[in-house]
Amino acid sequence: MSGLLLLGLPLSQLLTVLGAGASLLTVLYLLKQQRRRIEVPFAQLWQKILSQTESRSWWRKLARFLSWLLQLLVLALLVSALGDPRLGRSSQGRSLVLMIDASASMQAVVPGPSGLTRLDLAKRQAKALVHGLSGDDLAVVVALDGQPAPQGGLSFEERELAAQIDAVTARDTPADLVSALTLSQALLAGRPSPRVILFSDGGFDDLTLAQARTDLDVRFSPLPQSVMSASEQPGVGNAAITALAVRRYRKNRLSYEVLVSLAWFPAKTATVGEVVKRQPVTLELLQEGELVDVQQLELSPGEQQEKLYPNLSGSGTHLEARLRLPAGQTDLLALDNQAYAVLPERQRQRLLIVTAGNLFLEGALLSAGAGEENHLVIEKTTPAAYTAEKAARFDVVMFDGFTPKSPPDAHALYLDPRGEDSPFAVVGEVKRPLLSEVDSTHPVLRWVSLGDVNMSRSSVFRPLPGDRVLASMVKQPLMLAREESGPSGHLRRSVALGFDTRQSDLPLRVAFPVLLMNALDWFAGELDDDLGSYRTGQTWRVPIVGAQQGRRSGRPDAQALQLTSATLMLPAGDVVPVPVYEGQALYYGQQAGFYALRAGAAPVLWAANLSDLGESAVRLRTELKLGDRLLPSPDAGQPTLRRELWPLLVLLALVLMWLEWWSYHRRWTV
Amino acid sequence: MDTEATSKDSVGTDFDQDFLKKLEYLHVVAKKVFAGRSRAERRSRSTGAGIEFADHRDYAAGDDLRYVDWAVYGRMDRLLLRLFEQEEDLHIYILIDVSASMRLGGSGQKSLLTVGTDGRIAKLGYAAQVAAALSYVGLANLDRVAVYAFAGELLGQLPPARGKGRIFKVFDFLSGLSPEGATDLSTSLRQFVQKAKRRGVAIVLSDFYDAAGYEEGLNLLRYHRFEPAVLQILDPRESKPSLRGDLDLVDMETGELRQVTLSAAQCQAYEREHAAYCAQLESFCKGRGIGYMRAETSQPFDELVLNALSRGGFVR
Repeated sequence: MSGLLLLGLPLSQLLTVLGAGASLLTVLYLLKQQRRRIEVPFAQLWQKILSQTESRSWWRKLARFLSWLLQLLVLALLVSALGDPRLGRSSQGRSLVLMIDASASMQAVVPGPSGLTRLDLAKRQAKALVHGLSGDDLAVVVALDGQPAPQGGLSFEERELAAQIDAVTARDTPADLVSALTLSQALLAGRPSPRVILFSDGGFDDLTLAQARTDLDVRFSPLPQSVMSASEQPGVGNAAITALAVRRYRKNRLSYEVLVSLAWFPAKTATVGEVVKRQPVTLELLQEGELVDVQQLELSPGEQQEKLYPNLSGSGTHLEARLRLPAGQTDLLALDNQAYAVLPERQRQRLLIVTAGNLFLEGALLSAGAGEENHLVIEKTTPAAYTAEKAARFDVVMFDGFTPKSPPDAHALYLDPRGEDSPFAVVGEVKRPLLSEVDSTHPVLRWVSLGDVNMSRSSVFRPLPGDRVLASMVKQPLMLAREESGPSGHLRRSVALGFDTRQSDLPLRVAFPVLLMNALDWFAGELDDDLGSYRTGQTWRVPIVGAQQGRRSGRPDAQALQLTSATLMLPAGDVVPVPVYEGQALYYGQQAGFYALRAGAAPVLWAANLSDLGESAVRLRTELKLGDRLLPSPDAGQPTLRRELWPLLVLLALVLMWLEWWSYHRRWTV
Repeated sequence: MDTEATSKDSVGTDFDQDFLKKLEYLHVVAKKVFAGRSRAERRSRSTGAGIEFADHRDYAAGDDLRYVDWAVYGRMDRLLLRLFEQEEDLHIYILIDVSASMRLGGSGQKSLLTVGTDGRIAKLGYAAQVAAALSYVGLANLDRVAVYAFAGELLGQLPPARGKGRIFKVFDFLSGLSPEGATDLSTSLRQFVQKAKRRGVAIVLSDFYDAAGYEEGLNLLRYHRFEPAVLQILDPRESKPSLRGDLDLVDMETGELRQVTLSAAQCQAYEREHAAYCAQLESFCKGRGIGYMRAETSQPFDELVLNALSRGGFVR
């Protein structure tokens, strides 16, 4: 035992209170007692009685002294109780991490009238275990979600631990078991008898379980068997929207295509020889809350089925997909029955081509959709007619063999820039170069192969700090990309090719129009990633789009770059501050739904979905293996003395007070 | 007692109208109880010039020939003298204790002779009521009634008198009593026997709280051929005290102070001690042919007086 702890008033204050109280008691005992005066007719009769009492006068004095001591003892006990003394832990106590799975699958309901979720049952189990902990066991509750975190400090207080358990709430994220075990190891480092008790449905994917190796003694407390049997009723399972993806058409970026991926996970898997039943579901699509499409589908167990919605328009609108089972069937997890997306903003891109005439360039732009009804608005001019004022009215200026006096206030693509006016300093020239190094990770060179491109000559550039070399020949940069602030403070992007396309076979390759489109997309700040929604359980980096710069790129402008914080409205309507770093708002997403970020004049809208097959599968495991180790069940601790002493002290004080009262009224202690 | 006498009496005394009505009632009841059994007159044992025949004796020279029973001489040829019982008045002496302890029971009322708002009366007041009642009955029966007040000694007396009209003197005397001093029965009764020339009934009304003892005083009455009767008057609270806690007990007569802490057990012990003291007094009286009655002030005085009269022997 490691001694006595005082968790209430400090010792100095206790001594002060005790001293004051003892002084008061002593004064009260020293004060002359006021007696009632009673006249009796014949005192002689009293004498016989009183003589017996007087013979015990020495005892009376002692009794009074004892009474005083008794009162002091009662006072000392009460004052000690104020100090909330606790017995220290013995070396036999365990150090426990109570890991409660708070991932999305724990939101699954238990079939039946109770309406409880798996998390409710897990918390009940955790509380029952806490109630049965021995007095020497120290524990902390860790919520196992996408960002495992302790819910408080290590404590042996049942109330404190119960509060920690109550604080665990289910998130719309998968569980990060590996991080949770690492966290547990850190929490239990150096503590006696470390142990982790996992309260979970066991719905981790096999790869995670195989990778989650730990030296810790991990125990698994599965959900009650009744949950398993209740979930295996016919017609019980989880129909899920596993993805809701939005993408633009390559040639017309003003239109969108939406992909909905669906899956059906029956709670009871079919046995061999059993006829596999397809599950009928109803899929609804809503745009701005209005129903736009309803489809009846049939899903095979465990299979994903995809549904495409082509040619959707209406940038900035909210899109929602809903999935329903027929009446009478139980959908275990309601979370993945909805999926959300926001069709991203997209504006037309105005392109000025400054050229004396280049059929290769025009051909490549035609293949990219130039001239059609799409997002590109192209205008051509000659170098003689070019003016900076004219260039400022365009989003992108393409210079073909012409170098302006000064860079335009727009994104720019330079084909073979030369001379002193070139924004990319030319430091040399190479004949028949071969591109030995190509940075295919840059957005401009995505899906572009430049490995065997031939050219008669090329300028060699001197990159400035911050410039990115896209292609080079033996460390001699021949293609560069640059991001800088333009004259109006907006972000300006530039790409320079050191060679004339007419003296190269690049225009004859598929790579050329792809490179041009990539460059235009990069200038616009848009990539063909999954648009319109994020996945929960990840840290999102949301670009803040300023009010003024949105025309020329989706990238933050200088004003946005200076921001350090923004406000984010969560799906539930709560507004929270979020940090902004380098023009990107950072937020760890834990809820599915629509989000709205306000950092400037224009809000940034997006949506978030669970989109996790593992969580949607809502698996239930009664046994769990970490690596090749089967996790045992948790055991009960050794019963020991309760460490809270104040109830005992108060009880003892009450008993002593009652004794004193009893003896006083029997005239034993007066 | 007629109404006129009652009205007159109520003026100048502390006895109220109720009390006087009760006395009249007692007088009427007493007449019915003792009708045909005794008259007011009492016969002495000595023979004399009465009219009731008592006995014969032989004639001796010098006897009055008028009392010779000639009828007997004719039949028996003997000279016998007829003897008659001599009639004489009965003397009733009422001795009332006015020591300080008799103040007990008064709850602040103006006069100790009246009942307070709480329905209680001081022992002295109760004794005075009983004394007045006994006096009235005695006077109405043509006995000679004298009242003496005593504490440490005889403090006052109302000389023997007879006739109902004298009751007002008794009232005046009793109204003037106030409790003070310690009880000394021996001294007081010694002085009484020296003063009282004629023997008679001596009724002592007291609580008999005498540190020196009551035995000597009562024996003095017996030795001087009085017929003593004892009426011990107690307050209910002194028989069964309900005192608790830290107290200063002060003796009402001596002023002696004692600091005590009383418990229920001690009160019960006192109760037993007090009962034993009373039983001892009763035993003493009965052993010596002294009439004894104990009365608590909570008992109506008229009931007590009737009880005393009906017992016979207590008041003859």
